Amino acid sequence: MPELFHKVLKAFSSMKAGVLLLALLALFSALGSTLLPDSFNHLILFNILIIILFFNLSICTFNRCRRIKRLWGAGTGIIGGLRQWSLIILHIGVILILIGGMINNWFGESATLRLAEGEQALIAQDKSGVGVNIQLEGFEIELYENSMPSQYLSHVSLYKNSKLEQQSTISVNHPLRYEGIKIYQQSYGNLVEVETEGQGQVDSSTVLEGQILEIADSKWQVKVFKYVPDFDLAYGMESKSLQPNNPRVIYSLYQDKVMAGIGAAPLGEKIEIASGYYVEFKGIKPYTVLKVKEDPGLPYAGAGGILFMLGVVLAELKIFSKPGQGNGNRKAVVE
Amino acid sequence: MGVIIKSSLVLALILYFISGTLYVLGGKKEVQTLFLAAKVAALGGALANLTALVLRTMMTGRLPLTDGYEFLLLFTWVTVLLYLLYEKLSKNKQGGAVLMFIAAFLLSSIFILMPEHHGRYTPLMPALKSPWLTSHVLSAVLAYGAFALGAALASIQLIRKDSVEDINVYRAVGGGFVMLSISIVLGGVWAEQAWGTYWSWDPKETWALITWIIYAIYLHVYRSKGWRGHNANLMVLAGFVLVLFTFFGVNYLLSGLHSYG
Ligand code: HEM
Repeated sequence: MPELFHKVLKAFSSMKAGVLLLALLALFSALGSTLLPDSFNHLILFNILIIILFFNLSICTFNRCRRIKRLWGAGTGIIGGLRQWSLIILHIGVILILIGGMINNWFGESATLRLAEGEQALIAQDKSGVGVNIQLEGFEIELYENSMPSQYLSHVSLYKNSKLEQQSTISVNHPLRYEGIKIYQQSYGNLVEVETEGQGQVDSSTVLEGQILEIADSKWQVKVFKYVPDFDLAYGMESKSLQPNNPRVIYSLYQDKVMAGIGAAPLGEKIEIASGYYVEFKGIKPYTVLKVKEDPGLPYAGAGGILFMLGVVLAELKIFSKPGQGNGNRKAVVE
Repeated sequence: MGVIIKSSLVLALILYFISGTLYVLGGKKEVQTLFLAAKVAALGGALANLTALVLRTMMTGRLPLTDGYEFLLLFTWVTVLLYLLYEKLSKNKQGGAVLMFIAAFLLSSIFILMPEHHGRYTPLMPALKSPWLTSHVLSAVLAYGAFALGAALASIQLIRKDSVEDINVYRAVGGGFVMLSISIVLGGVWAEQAWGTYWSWDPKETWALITWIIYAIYLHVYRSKGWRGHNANLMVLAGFVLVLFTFFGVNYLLSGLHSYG
């Protein structure tokens, strides 16, 4: 059946098929982003569509490469040649972008780290088991004069096999690169150090905002709702600024899971819940949230992006030439 | 400063309206003086629009490329400027009848959607502080302006039921397509730097891609199948509707990484 195969291949790699696939992709994306905004790109059907597009594009670009060699031989002139070449560059650019994306999908890795000051986490390990750790030395928020955040900075050290490798600062738009790994400033938050006391039994813990603690020997629970660095009643639960002018911890109390009260406690103040039962918010420990990413497809996507931009610019240059010189812009001129 | 900016914009809006009306009247009777008056009004509007942009730049101390308000100011101005350039080069004057109303619509959306924004600005949030963002937005504005011009010319052809301007529609769309392609790639570079993902299928990215695809299809069929006239014009209009949706719809209806916060 080689002839049938040939026919199918030809139809499949035609520009008509390419255009149809693009239209389908647009339709799918439009439906997806309205109906399933968070997950449509994981749908199998959607990914199959992109893979089909990838093959269609690859085959038709390959065919064009072969054709251009013939055209080149026939002498289309340097400009016609330029347009043909730029189209190939452009299509190869798109192919590389798709390849880069697929490599990232299959082999890329990404993880989120939450690190308080002084904490370490493993970010890489080579085949011989030598690990690379990242340690947060300090987290800092730079503020504008009006006290809005201007930059989030994580000062970190990298340790390889427990030996200091390098120290650097990660901030938004300035990720850290280390041997194919990139580490990004993603977010931040605060841990709250809490001490609870029930009938003489003292418990210390460090919790995330939103966490609930049981108070010993009682039906009391305290929910550490949120740390507010600059508390002001007029702003409610929102902080007036990021400066610790009036640091409070907003908490709520529950007895038998029924809300029994809510408050905004200063740090270091022992609050009596009932006789013999206390809670105290002793301090705040800021933490940073870093994204650690390894994308082996990035060089392909990057090269693809550059080729694609270059190809598009070169391919369209010609449309601004005087009408009549364009290839096929004005049919009458050709005929 | 906010008051002066607002006044300049009101003036620009009025002049764009007057200009559009004069283009319509001029087109009905092919009166050259009306066209001339329309052009003067458009130039005046562009000047007032530019004044607002310059004042905004002085007020914020940075290029007006960082929020939806500034984008609209620039989008409108670039649209009118590209039209005036087209008019000068092509000597055709009918397109203004649609284009100036598009410009007026864009500018009036500022007064509807962000009436309090004229004197207001906030310092840049950390993610927005990137040279990639600047180039990304600049190329997007140029792309959108060119698509607006393409849409205006296509509408005129649909109204007149002819296709003499096809080549210029094609040029506007082709130029816009180049800028949109560059903008999407630069946006990816920026997202990679800021978030560690160059493409995350967020609504803005997705709709920009859909827009890009529509115009790519137009360019493919225009050249290869000789799709001209009616159908091609409809596609260019559909593309511009998508441009507007990518901006207004996504910013104000859907939310995602790109909502300026
Ligand atoms: C599958 C078969 C395809 C064929 C045979 C094909 C062929 C072509 C041709 C011939 C042109 C130039 C138009 C001309 O000068 O006549 C072109 C341009 C272009 N193609 Fe394709 N293409 C295909 C698929 C795709 C796909 C899937 C994409 C994108 C994902 C794409 C993106 C572009 C772009 C951006 C341009 C530049 C716009 C233009 O000048 O027309 N192509 N392609």
